[in-house]
Amino acid sequence: MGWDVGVSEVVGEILLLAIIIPSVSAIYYVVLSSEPPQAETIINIGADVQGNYIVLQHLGGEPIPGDAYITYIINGTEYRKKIEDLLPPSAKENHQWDIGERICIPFTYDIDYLKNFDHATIQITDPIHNTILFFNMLPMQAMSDLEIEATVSPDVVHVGDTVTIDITLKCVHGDVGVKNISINCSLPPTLKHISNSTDKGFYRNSTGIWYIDRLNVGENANLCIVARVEPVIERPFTQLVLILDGSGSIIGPDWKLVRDGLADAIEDESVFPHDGSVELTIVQFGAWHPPHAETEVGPVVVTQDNYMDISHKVRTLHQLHGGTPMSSAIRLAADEIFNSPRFNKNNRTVACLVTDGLPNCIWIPGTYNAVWGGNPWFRDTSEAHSGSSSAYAPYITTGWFITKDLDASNASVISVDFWYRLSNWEWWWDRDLELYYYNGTSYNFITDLGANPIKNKWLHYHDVITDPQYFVPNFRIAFKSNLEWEEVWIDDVSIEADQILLRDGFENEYWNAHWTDPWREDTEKARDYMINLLGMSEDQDEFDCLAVGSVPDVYWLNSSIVYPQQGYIAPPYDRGGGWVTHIHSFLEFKEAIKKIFKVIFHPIVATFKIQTICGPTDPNGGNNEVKIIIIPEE
Amino acid sequence: MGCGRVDKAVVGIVVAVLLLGLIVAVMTMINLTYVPKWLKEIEASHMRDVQNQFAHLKYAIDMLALVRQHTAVSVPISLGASNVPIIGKGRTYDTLEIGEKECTIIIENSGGNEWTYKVGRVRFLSRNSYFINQEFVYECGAFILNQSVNSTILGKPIFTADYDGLSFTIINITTPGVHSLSGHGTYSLWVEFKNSQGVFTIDNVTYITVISDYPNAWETFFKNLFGRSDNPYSADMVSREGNKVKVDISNMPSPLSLRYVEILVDVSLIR
Repeated sequence: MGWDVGVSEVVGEILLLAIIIPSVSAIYYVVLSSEPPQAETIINIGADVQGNYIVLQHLGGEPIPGDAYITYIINGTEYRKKIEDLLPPSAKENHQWDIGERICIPFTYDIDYLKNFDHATIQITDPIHNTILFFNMLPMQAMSDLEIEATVSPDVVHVGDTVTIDITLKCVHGDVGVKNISINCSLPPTLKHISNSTDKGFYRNSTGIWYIDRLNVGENANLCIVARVEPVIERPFTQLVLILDGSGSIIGPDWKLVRDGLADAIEDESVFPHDGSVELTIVQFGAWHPPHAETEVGPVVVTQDNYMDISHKVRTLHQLHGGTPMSSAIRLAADEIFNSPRFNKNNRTVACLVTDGLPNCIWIPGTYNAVWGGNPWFRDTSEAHSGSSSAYAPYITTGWFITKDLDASNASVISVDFWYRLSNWEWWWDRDLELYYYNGTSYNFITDLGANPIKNKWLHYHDVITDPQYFVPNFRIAFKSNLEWEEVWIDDVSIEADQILLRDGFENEYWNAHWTDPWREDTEKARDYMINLLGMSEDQDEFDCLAVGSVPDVYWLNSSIVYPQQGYIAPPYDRGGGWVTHIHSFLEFKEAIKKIFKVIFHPIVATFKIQTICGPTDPNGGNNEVKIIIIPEE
Repeated sequence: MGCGRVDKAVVGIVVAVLLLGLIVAVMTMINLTYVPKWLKEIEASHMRDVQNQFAHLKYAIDMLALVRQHTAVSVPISLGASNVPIIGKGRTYDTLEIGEKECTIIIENSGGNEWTYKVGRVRFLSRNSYFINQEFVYECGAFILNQSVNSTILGKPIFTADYDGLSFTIINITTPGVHSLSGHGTYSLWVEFKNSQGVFTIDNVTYITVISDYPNAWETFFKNLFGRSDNPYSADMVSREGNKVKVDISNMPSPLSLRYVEILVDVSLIR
């Protein structure tokens, strides 16, 4: 019994060992002797299309061996390249693609098959580990900036002269050229086409279309049109209203310069037409008790029979002196034109404001009178929280300083942040500086900033508005200053909601571009009243300004008063109506008003515009139209 | 009977020795072949976690810079990877640093004026054993990843360029407390809005220079931005010399809308 048991167990163990050893050996040989699976390559890659390059960037992790390869498909064609061949020279030393290194794969858009370039497929493969390290389908959008420019020569032109108009189309920069470009280069009737030549495409005088089949990046195309200046046979009937500032800031000799300059211009037929094509109205504004506007001339049609009477009337204009009720004058001018028996919306309407100051009166509805106010806020460079400028209200002034409309309609909170400074002098009975918020209908008092006892130091104000009454499309903040022997400053104003609504450190040339006051607002409303009442249209009507001296806010006149917008500073008068001419003193008035009348009555305007293109997107549409204006001399 | 008992004991010992040998062989094989890969994976995973945490840090700072409300938020940062279970290996220790005035921004315009800002940064440094060592840096609004050979940008600074000009929000990091912390565990980074200057526009900007320990990241950012076709600039306007990255727009001077924001960051455990 005992022997049998011992033998069988030993035999059993031997048999088991005989089975296990070959089995383990087999497993080790087959499975474990082969190389264990590699850990996954841990890597982050970014890809983008920039111009004519696919840019791949190693954004961290392990380096990629140089023998990995990139497969990309563009325009249906598959390309396969080794990483090492694409690495920039500085990155080739270690034969691998490391963090921060950019691979730029150049490609070329085909303008004839641009639709095929809507996306690129990119794949990076590691052949050693047989793994895909990166895969992406990149959207592509080709861009090209076209620009049109035009010049006319000679500078001084008379009726009957031949002029040469040089039009240049440039593909300034971009990813690919542009094809099938149509540019409208029609000439007005006062320019008679004589000949043309172009180095690209063709120009048809009958349609005015200059067609170019293709323009590559960096290339120019030139069109030269030779034309003759024709006399104006038929001038559109124009209702002209001059809105003259007669306020007290204009001294007697200057007022005489205004009267004489204006009268001389009216008498000169080469400047001011006497053929019955112009109805003239002159409105003056000024006076103290109350400030008001009154009609001095017209509305009257200027003819050979009456132009001397009109000029005589102008020469003897009595100055009103006093305040500057600009809004009352604009409303009076609008009503005079509208009530004229000759008024027709199809007539050309031109308003021209001549001023040496800023509005400082509020119009009284139902009248052409006004209530006097003030304009206390200026730019100051003696104090600034940052930069070199701040907004400043001097002593013995009262007035408002209000942001323009800020669209906070999508806001859930509004952050208001600014710095302010109070001078050392304070009188106990007034509130030096108050802050208001505007909810679209009323200004709500928020705090008395002037109550802060700290003087001559920049103070920080920060507030987060959560009250939904202010989440309106015309949210504003307003400062009201009421100063005796004190001064106040504001700087670094920042108002943010879902986006930045206003950021202003008052550093720009037009320092108060984002701000207004009740007097300017009242004038803007009067200007809107005129445009609406007369049904003014951008293609035929205009509201222009002649600003004299240093006081007028040229930026405000240009951006908020002249029509059509965007306004521009003239001369040159090369963009049609809606200009501001700025002269330094009334000594320049005579020549300026002559030029202005010529611009109003004798302009030859030609507009050249890129109409259609085929191919890439133009990222900058602001340079796709140009206008030339020729003003024939006497 | 006695001999039978002795035989059984011999067989049991032989089996035990064989099994022990097998287990030791397997454990050795696992330790040599697989554990390094697991640890590398764990360290890489930890780096991904920290990267996400730094992305949150950038978000928090950017939001404070945008809202500019006097408040604070806390952002967790994990220092060090954890042990692999059972094996009990893999613990690492990382470092978090806050440096002031580490990066310089210089803006010049055609009028010969110069604006210089020295700003601070938050920096995380790993001390990995298997995965590549990484630094995550928040510097002037940029979220940067630095490895031993180079650096790259993971989160762009608040800088834009289009046909209307440039816009840049400069974010300065300051700290009142300790400047460095090393160890293992999750620490809360205190981020507080401190101060800001309103935006002002610098006209006719000609040069923007960034002097940083991570010039490649800044160069890459500017090249990517200016290389795009939706602005009038070009990637060629960006150059690098040492640790200085310069954007030369002197041939098309542009307005720059600039804001300066100061953010306080604190790693102090007790304040």
